[in-house]
Amino acid sequence: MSTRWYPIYQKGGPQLRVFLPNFWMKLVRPPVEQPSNVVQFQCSMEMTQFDIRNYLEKIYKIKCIDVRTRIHMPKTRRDPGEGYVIKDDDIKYAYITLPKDQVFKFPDLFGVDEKTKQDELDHERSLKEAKKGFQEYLEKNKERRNLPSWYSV
Amino acid sequence: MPKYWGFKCYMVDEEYCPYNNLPLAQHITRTHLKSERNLPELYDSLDVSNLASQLNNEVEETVLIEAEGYRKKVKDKLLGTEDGEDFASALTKGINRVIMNHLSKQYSHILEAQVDFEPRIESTWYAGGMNPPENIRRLRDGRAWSREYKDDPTDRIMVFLGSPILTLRSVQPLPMVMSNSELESSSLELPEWKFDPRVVGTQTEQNRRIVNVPGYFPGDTHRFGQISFHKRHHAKNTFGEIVDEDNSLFRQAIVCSFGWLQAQANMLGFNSFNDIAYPLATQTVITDGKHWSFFAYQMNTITFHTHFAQEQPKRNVCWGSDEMKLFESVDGEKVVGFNEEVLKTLLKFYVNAPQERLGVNLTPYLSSEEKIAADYEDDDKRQWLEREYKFLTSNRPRYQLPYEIYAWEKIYKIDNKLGLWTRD
Repeated sequence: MSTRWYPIYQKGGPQLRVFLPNFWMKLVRPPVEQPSNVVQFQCSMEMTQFDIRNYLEKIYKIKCIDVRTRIHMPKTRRDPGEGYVIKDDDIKYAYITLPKDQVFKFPDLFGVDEKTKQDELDHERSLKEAKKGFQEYLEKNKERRNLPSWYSV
Repeated sequence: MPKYWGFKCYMVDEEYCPYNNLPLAQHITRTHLKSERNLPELYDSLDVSNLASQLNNEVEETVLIEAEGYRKKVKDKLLGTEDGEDFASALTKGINRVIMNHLSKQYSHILEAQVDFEPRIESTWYAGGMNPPENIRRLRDGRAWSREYKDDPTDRIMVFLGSPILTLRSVQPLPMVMSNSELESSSLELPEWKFDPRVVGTQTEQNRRIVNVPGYFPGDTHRFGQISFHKRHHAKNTFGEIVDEDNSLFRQAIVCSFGWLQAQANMLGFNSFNDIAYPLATQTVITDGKHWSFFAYQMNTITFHTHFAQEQPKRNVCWGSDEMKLFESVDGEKVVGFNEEVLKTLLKFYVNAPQERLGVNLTPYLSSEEKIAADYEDDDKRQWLEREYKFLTSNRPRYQLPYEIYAWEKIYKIDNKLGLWTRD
């Protein structure tokens, strides 16, 4: 379903256009720990709770026991160049309750193997040690600021 | 925000039951629910078959009168209340009147009992053992010394709002259903619940003062609950699953029983930080006029804030019966399929007499000299106490408005320091 109008064909315009639907839902990893039968989505702002229920039940054949939504306002921030305050688009979150015997586990999309994990840990550890060493160096030389390091033995 | 305007509270409403709410209800009231669906053995020893046969006709008559009245009322309105909330209320009051009139000759505790129609019940307590909210986690994460505790559970203030049809109160407490030795010997399990209550649809209120109102004023002689009757029209709003309809009834029974008892305990001088010195019991009936469910409840502890969330060995216990039909239908001037078992169970609740707890000081933490505000000799103190107590429990908003940050201040002065207002 799309409410976008098909523009009148002008000479030179593309022959084929793809219209994406107005209704979409994006599965997200919940930031707060939730029961295993609750699933969190971001969805398009136009969708009501009825729409969300129909979307999941009719297209994906998922039984929704309860649908709750909220609209999240993202934080404002300064524009990097101009300096005025800007805000990203609001996000509508939907919390779907499945029947209590069903379990949803958010998939591990980018499976990380043990070796990469170990490498990352090693890297973090060495970085931490380097930081600590630098702090010690600063602490030792705080009385002699701006003195080059080669000055003392 | 200073607590002058109140606390952030998690609302436990009797009539609003989101899906799969039973584990949360059990966690926040620390209630073990008996898996077998029958009332405790205490009720088997009460013999009421004679009484039931005597009252049979009168109760049938009451059903007829109330059904007729309800039908007239609904017919008068084009859009009648189909859920039968009014019928349940009228019928319960009618049956209570019949039973009390009959029993008060034999039973002194019925003669002395206080009956309240639709009393206000409000109860507040601390529940621990649940994951911290996001803002608390961030706060703890931001300080080096508290970083390691950032995922530790936090306390939450739970507020129960009850709306019973009627309640009965007595001077003495009901007898204990389980003795202390039985409680210690049996293993009473609780479902595991560690989530924020909001993940299952619990609502919060930002500024609400801590209030405990058990349906009577301080200084009342009848301080112990005996029976409370509750509506179940909200059961229509369940989620199309029979299992959950059943669970929502138990959830209602648990929060209603605990909520009422907790408020009573508060009047006796106990609270979330001073545990009750002796168990309290109550009996709860949930009905829509036709379907009746009976519950017995024993409250053994009210102290389970975070420090006690893991170590507290005591459990509250709830027994419940399956729902029963008082009658099948009302056909003209006849009640079809009247079920005497329901009446018997109800009579057992009435006959179960409150007893004096021998050798127990019922109010160990309260002063014996100043029992009510009027006992204070100091005029200023007495007037202040009465004024403040009445104001706090009234839930009226403070005259002085709470400090407010406008949206433009949040955007331009706090989140992004634009510096346009620095000259102020």
